[in-house]
Amino acid sequence: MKALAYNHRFLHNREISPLPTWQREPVIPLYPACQRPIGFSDASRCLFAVEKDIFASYGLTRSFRLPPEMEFYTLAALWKKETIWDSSVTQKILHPCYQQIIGMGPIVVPWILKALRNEPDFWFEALMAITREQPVPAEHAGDMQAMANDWLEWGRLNGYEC
Amino acid sequence: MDMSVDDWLKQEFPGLHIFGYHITSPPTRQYNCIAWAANRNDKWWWPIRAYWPGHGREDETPKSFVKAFAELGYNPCESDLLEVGFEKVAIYVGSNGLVTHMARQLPDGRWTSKLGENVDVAHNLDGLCGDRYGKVGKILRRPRQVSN
Repeated sequence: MKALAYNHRFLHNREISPLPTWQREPVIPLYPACQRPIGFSDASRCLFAVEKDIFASYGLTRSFRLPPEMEFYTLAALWKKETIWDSSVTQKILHPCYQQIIGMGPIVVPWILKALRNEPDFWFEALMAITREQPVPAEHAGDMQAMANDWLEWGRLNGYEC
Repeated sequence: MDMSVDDWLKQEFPGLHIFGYHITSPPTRQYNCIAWAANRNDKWWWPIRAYWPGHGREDETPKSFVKAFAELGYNPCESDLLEVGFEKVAIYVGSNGLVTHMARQLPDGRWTSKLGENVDVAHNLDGLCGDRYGKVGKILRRPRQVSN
């Protein structure tokens, strides 16, 4: 169909009309990113300059954010992968991914409690930092299952499903 | 991509494949290398934010570990070779001077380690030296316990 349409543009080897609008390729205007407008007011020039900067920065920007729950599980997976060989609790909790999870705030508490219910893990410091609570008695220190149970009990008392 | 534990070990501890090893237990978070060196498997031992034997909290320097294991009867010694009548533990120290890992000598002269939250392995002492655990910083020994 396209070839036929092109043939109809010519009569006796002379072009009789440009392509109709519905056959033209869409053109992405480069203006104002690549051209400086002429004959506009100073205010418009300023605006175009700002737009140009935005266009330029857009080309350099590649950051985006995942939905929070997906972000949490992504960070948790990377944290686990990189600290699974460490015995040092300090190394584990100072890992950048762990710190980012703490930085996500109270939104992560239900997901952490869910993870703890599935398997005890080193989430205790993150829970302490976020909730400012410490339900683990000193005699449970180092006992992963007992510490997880203490936090799950705290979660139930504070209205979390766990 | 799923990796087998062997592939993972090969990647993280190239020395294990050079000096040989074998896995002796499945992964668990119930205990760590320090507890395992002390012949315990019920708690995570660490001087900060975990269980620690003895009185008071310590830091992560070898001195704290020597002090804690002194309470279990261990004293510093020079050689990592098997000595009849003694059991030994090795303290690995990272490039920052802090303890990264401990291993315990088996009666046949090999060493046993719990690798973080992962598996236990029987290995040569040099097999775990490298980027992750650093190098062996201290050897401690005590008279072999009757129960072992």
